Order: sequence, then structure tokens, then C-alpha cells
Amino acid sequence: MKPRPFAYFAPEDVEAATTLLAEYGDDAMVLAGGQSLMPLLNFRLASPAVLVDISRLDELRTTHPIADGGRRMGSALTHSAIEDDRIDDPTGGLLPRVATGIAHRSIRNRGTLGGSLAHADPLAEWPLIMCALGADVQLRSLRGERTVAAADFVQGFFTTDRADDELCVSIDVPALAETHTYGFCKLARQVGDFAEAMAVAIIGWSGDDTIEDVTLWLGATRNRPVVLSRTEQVAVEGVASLLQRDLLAEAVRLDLADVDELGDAHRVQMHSVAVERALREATTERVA
Amino acid sequence: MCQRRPERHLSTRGVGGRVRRNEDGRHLGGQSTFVADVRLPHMRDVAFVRSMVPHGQIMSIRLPDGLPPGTVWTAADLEGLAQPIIAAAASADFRVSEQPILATDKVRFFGEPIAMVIADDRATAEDIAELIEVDIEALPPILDPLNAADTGLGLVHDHWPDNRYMVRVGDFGDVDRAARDAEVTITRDYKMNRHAGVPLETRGCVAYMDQRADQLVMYSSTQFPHVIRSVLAGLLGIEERRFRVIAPDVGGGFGIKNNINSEEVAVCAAARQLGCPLRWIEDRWEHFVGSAHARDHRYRITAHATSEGEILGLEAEILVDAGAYSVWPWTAVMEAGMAAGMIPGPYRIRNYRYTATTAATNKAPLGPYRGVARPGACFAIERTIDEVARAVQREPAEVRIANMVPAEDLPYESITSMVYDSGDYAESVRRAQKAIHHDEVRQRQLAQPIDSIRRLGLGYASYTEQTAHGAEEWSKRGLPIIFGYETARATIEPDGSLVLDVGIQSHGQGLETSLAQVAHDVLGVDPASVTVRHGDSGISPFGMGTFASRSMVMAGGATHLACERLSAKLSSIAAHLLDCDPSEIAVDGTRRQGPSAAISLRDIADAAYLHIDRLPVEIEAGLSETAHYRPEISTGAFAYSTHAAVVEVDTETGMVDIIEYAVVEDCGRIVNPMIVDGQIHGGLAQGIGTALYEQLRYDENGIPQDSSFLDYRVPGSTAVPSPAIVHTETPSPHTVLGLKGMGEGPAIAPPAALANAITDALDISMTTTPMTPEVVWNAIHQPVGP
Repeated sequence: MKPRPFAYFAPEDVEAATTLLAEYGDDAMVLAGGQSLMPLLNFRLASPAVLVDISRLDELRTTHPIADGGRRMGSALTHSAIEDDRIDDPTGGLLPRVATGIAHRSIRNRGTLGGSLAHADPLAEWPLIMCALGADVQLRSLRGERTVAAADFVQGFFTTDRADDELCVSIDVPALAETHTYGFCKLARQVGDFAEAMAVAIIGWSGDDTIEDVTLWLGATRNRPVVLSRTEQVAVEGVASLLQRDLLAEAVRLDLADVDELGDAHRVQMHSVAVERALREATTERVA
Repeated sequence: MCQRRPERHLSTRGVGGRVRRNEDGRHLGGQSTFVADVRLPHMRDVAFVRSMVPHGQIMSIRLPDGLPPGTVWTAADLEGLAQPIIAAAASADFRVSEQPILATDKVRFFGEPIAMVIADDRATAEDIAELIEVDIEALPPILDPLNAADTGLGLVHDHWPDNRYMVRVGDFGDVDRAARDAEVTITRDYKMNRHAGVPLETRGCVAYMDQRADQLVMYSSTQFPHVIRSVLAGLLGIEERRFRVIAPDVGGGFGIKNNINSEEVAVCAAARQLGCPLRWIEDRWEHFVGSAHARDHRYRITAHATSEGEILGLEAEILVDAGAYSVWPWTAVMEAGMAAGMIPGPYRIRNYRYTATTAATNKAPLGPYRGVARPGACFAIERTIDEVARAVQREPAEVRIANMVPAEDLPYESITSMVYDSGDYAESVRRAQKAIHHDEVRQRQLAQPIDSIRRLGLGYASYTEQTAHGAEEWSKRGLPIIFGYETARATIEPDGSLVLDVGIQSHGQGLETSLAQVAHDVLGVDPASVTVRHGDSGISPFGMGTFASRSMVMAGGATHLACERLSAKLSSIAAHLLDCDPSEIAVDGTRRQGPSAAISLRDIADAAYLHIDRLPVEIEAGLSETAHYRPEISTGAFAYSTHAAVVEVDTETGMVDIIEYAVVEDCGRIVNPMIVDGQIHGGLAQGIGTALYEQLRYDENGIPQDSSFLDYRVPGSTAVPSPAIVHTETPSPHTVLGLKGMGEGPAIAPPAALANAITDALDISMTTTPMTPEVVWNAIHQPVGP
């Protein structure tokens, strides 16, 4: 369980990092917190010729305001920084809440937001949350900078839209308006474990406390975070009467079938329970 | 919450005292020396090439070109340097397996070592290992122990008639009559799935030739350095006088480090040839695929009972999947044999019949793991008690008590010839009921809304555990060697300080403290000032090792006896120096008090070593006494316990939360209550692992599915409750100081207690471990059986 040989670079700034990525292309891998990459190297499941360590780049750990109360967050911000709300969370508590549930504190002290997104582990929290929030990902290379929606960036099982010469530098997280509530449910065997099932619900309310829109995303799938369109519709219609369980479960099943994510009965049940509990949390907050 | 016994011993530092461990400083300060911390000049690292198929014929092994000689070792290179491992039970029916040090013609499990690579560091050794091409012609893997008698599926060992190590049967009393008399007969199948041992520190060894001492030295993360020296010396063809084995700090063993490992044999053989130190440190993947596995028991239990739930007779079909090889020295049949013996549990069973089958499969060998066979047997019998209680609609705790051997019948010889020496089993259940607030929990259950998603359950499990069994028991089991005694040497150094050299080995049990407490009661020396040396065949007297919950009883007994002998000599010297009779000398801390004056240990030692001119010739110089302790009755001291669990089951997900947990234990006289509590916390954690988390699955091709912590789940700190602990103390009549073993016990009952609690919550029989959310949810939604 030791890695194959590799060359190690610790560039001094983003430009130096992107220069290395341009030079080595798919022979290089970006090392941020290393909490997923180092085990992959040790298991010899990944064998890059070159590691580009960006963990010391201060400019990737900054955060500053953007339009409409949103926040631009450096990609090398750690989960701990988010957990401790050293980022001026624009989501009314969702980001710190999610960060707190990621693995253990020693992992959160090193693991990074951008690393998690770029790694695109289907079991990870940030791809799900950033898709649900409609966040944007900034990618920089010697060729220039581009912005891509998180939902387009995370393409599948450990697969993203990042080109080999690109570095994920920041994430734009839009504000969650006062008119919105959220619910998040992670079902895990114990504290620190990966999710068995995971869902996030964001509900937009009108002035008279009726539901205007529901955004519902499911994580811990086999492939990538999934938007549950049919279930969103059922939730909009049925949430006032506090969710008809069977209808909801059926909608989740159909949504999962659409993206080929149906599994054994227990797995589908876990997804369904996570969705229901996320929705319930998002609504009870308002109803109460 | 912990009920504390009032202190009633003379000293709060001796036996019974809450003494902080002498080991804590180095362990908590990160200053221990584990085998991977051993650094020797010119040391090289070893990596193994392991089989990636479970069963097959090795056709060829192709090495990359240009490697320096001595880099890669295969079975051919070890010929004449190391013999295969054979662990045969002393029974004509036992089928012998021969485990090659490196696979010769055939591989028999995924992970079996095929070649050994030696390089300057481990990463380079792994680089070379990757380039070695092993061509294996795959054979159909033998994976299902239920088919062990079927000869048409192929053979794990080609010279066997089928895939069974042994079938053992027993028939006691009149089971047929019990069946006829019974008003209720219940048959259930239970399964405790295979898992791993997962000590914090994996296995490993460092071996080198010490030319000055003309000996081979091996550091090994082992539980029994002397015993492996004996067997390794035989396998390697080296005299024991020229072989030293050192167990440095060992980061947990739990039985996994209580076997002979082929890797150690290979490393030692190569180190003798190459003349440079070699190191092999098992990585976690190797641990999951290549270390001895645990459990893998199946039971079919039939209970014949009255309508009141009194059990008239038991029938047990036991099947253990022992994997590819019989591990030394335990043999492949130890698990099934012990399980058969322990099925009657703490109950008054007079009619009992069993069949105990041990199957060979193309999986990693099965070895001892904390509790050894008892967690499976406890699971089967304690689930059975609750099934009987459900059938006759009585409170399980009451049915348990009603069937137990009454206190007045002890000592009691069980139907399987175990001598339960002392205690009060029913009282243990009653105290557990009190500790878990039985009535209150039952009230809370009644108050649950009928449609509540979360269901509350209460479950109990009791056991009586043979500990510190000696010569008679091991001889009965037919082991290759007999673990009948322990040895201690107590030495007062010339400055009056005390050293205990013991054959036992401590790897987390706190023996450096508890043995010092035993010495304190005899010699008066502060336990914090006693040096306890162990785990080194170059220093310690020969010892059998730490396992079978034997160390405190055996080594404590030996320490007590050695200290008494030393004390007598101290008294005779003191009497001479104080000009009185030895019988007039009293122990006063580190002084010896005569009628008119006192003398310190330092002054006695000074006379014994440095001023022998002050002593008459009849008194021998020096202050060192050795004692071997062998209990007079060697069938074991029976510790016992009842665990009680309250769980909440989420019926939507199948997830189980442990809400309350209580442990009532009796390990005879307690040496150090804090160490006993620590054993309970640790054993409970491992028992919860067996119950809810840990499983090592093989797929239909014989490939391990849980070979990293990503898939293999162990309970973390948040999954392990802090139990209410109730100590009771019934001294064993068979051991010095009345001690009983307690190392393994706390891991025995949790699977049964938790299964009973989940069964109680759902009114559905739980029959399998681990009870994962999937297993529990499926049981709710696809009920199997009545």
C-alpha cells in the first residue's frame, strides 16, 4: 500500500500551477487536501507521473462577496473553514451544517471544497449541495478562465468537465433568499461515515406561506447527483398536506428509474426516506 | 454509571486498587516502540506477492529481468530452509492440511503469499512485486461450507476425501425423551458471519542475524513470543538457544497475533541467508485478505421445552467455515469444538445432542479472535432462550433465570463436562434488569404509539466463560502443545528495587501494572516503582503467551508465588541483620520490621549482593526467586456476565441506535477495577462490531469484498455507548487469589443482547450478524419463518 513513483511540485502561485498542468496534461494530478487522492495513490488505483500540490496557495483560500448576496469561495478552502463559518456563509446555515457531517474533523481540516467537487465522488456532499444551490465553478488555465454551472461540471462517477490543463480556482455560491427554506438529510451508519443516502430540499415560499417552488436533489447515487423533477412536482402539490408518503416514494422511484439509479428494495427505500426527511425538515421549519 | 465496591483491601495500591497504569506514560505520550518503530542499520523491506485467485494451480512465476540476486523469493528458494505449517488435532478423524510458507503448486485462498520481494524500501518492493507475472490456472473455488461433504465440486486439499476437517458428535442424556415430553419445540437457524480482527496495529516482524550473540533475532507483533520461537525454530531448523524472539509494544492482538504466520517464517528464513535485517509490516489490505479471519459460524438449534419455557433438551447442528488451512496451534476444529461445549451456557441442560462440522473452503484460514467461538455459541443459545420465551409468551429475563443453574448447585458439572466453579447466574440477570431499568423500559414500550416509526427494544444475554483453562482442558482438546502454566521471576536488585520477569506478554492488558499490584501486596513495593519485563525470550522466563483470558490468573499466580518465596528470603536476611527470628519479621512497606528495629529493602539487598560478609554461609547470595504456577484444578475458572441492551430501531431505514447498555460481570477477585472497566469498554466495542457492523464478504468468485475501511465497517466512538457497569466478585476456588479471566468476556454477549433487543423491538426473529440496516429492514419487510 505504497504509491508508485511520482514527481512532486509545489508551485508558488496559480499561474505556476496552471503552467505545470499545461505542461504535463493528463500525466498530472492536482493535490489539494489529499484526503481522497492519497489513499488512491497508496492503493495504486491512481498513478500520476506528476503531483501538483496547490494546498499552499493562499489565493485559493480566500472568499469574497459577489452579486445578490452570494459568495465566491476559493477552491482550497477546507471543510473545517466552512464548518466554522469562516466564509460568511450565504446560505443561512446550510453550508456549515453540511460541512460538519463530512467525515471526521481531522479529515475536514485538510479536505477542500474544490477538491471534493473536482474529485466528484458520488458519495460526497459538495457535488450534491453545489448542484442544488445552483453554484458556478471557475476553472482557470493558461488558455484563460471559464465558468461552468456545478450541475454541468459534475458529470458522473469521478468525472467532471475539467480539462487536464485546468485548475478549479473558486466556486460562486448564490445566496439562499429569506423566502427560502432548506432541509438536508444524510443517512449514514455512524458519524463520519459516507452517506447511505443523502438528499437536499430547497423550498421557495410565497408571502402567504404557500409553496412556490421546490428544488430537490439526491446524492449518494452510483453516478452523480440527481435532480428529482417528478418528486419536486409532487412535493409542490402535496406538501401542504404534509406529504403523502406513498405518492412521494413512487415519484422518487420513477425519478431514479429515469437515470438508471434503481437498486435493490432497501437502497431505493433509503433514497426515498432521505428525500422525505429533507422535505419534511424544509417544510416544518416554515410551518412551525 | 458504575457501582463501586467499597475498598476493603489493606492497600489501595495492591490487588483491588484503582491504580493508574504504568504503561500510560509511554502509550499516551506516543513513545511506545511498536515493531514498525524498530530501526536497524541496513534494514530492508519486504512485500509479498499474493494470490489474486482463490483456488488454482500455479503454472509459472516470471520475474522481471535484471533484478539483483536475493530480491525475489519463491517456494523453490525456500526449499530446505523452511518447512510448511501443520496444525493437526490429536484425533484420528482430523484431516491434516499442509500450509506452504510460499505457495508451491496450488493456491487455496485469495491473498495467499506466493512470492516475497526484498528491496530498500516498501514502495520499491511493491514496484517490483507488480512486475512479477504469476500464471495461475484457475480451479472452481470451494466457497459454500454447506456443500463440504459434496465431493463433486472439487477439493481444497487434493488428498482429502471431501472438504471437511472433521465432524464431531456428542449425545448426552436422553434427548429423544426430552423431545417427547416437550410441549414446545422450536428450531431456528443462526449465522454469525465471517469478519476480521482489526487490531489497531497490524501484524509485522523484523528479523536479523545478531553475529555477536550468534543468534537469529526476530521482533514480532505477537501475543506469544516464546511459543512462536519454539515452533519457528522447528520450521527453520535452528536451535532455540540460537534464536531470540522479542514482542515489543504490541498494538492489540485479540487472537489474530496468536498464530504462526507464514510471512514470519519466510522473513526469518531469508534474513538468515542474507545477513541484513528484513522488515515486513502488514498493510491493512493484507490484514483483510491475508490475516486469520474470525467467526463464520452457522447453527441450527432445536429447543424442547415445557409450556412454562423450561428447557428439557437441546439439539445443535454447528457448522464452522474454517477456510483453507488449519492454523497453528489451535487447529481448524477449535471453534466448532468450543461452540459445541458452550451451547448449554449457564443453563441447567441435562439432555443435549450436537453435531459439529468444520469445513474447508477457499477462504483465508479462521483463527482465534476475542471470545473464540463463544460469541457464536452465546448468540445461538441466547437467541434460543428468547425464542422459547416468545413461544411461551413469557418475559425473556424470567425464562433465562428459570433455566439457569441455581447458585446452590455450584460448583456444577455441565453436560459437556465443564466445571462451573462459582457464582450466582440468576442474580447476574436480576442486577442487569435493575441496571437497565427493566420496568421503566417496558413501560416506555407500552406507551409507544402503534404507528411509531422508531421502535424500542430490550434484550439480555448471559454467558459463563471458561477462562484460564490449564493442562487438563488443552490436553482434552488435543492441541499440539499444552498451555498449562506460567512462570515469574521476582528479583530485588542491589539497590533494593524490584523487577518482575514474566513469561506472559502484555499488549494492552495493563499487566505491567496489575502484576505489580500483586507483587505490592506481598513485598510492599509501590506498584509504580516495579519494573515488569515481558515479551522477550532473551530476558523473560519461558511463557505461553496472552490469550484465553489466562494471563492475570496464570501470571498473577506465578508472580504471587515468586514474591512469597522472595519475601521469605528477605525475612531470613532481615532476621539475621536485626538479630531476631524470621517469624518475627513483618512487612512494612519497603521496610522489614523486627521486634526492636526495622531495615529497608535497600539495606537487605546491599547485604545480599554487595556485603555478603554480613550474612552467614547458610543464606545464599542474591535476591531472585522463580515460581511456576499451575492451577491445581485446570479445567478453568468460570467468569460470567449478563449484558442488557435497549435499542431503538428505525423501521423506515433498518438503522439501529443503542440507547442504553448495561454489563453485570463477575471475574472473581478484581485486581484493578479501572483495567476491568477498560476491558468491558473495549470488548463491548468489538461485540457491537460483530453485532452491527463487521463482515468480510466473499463474492461468488471467492474474491474478498471488504478489503479496506471503505467497505469494512468498524464501530467508531459515537457508535459505542458508555455502559453502566456492575461488578460482582465471587472468587474462584480454583486459583491463587481467587482470580478469573476477563479479557475476552465483554466481547461475547453484545451480538446476542443486541439481537434479542432488536427482536424485542420488532417482534421479528433476528438470526444473523451483522444486523446492518439492510438486514433489519429486509427482516421487517420480508419476514422469514415464524
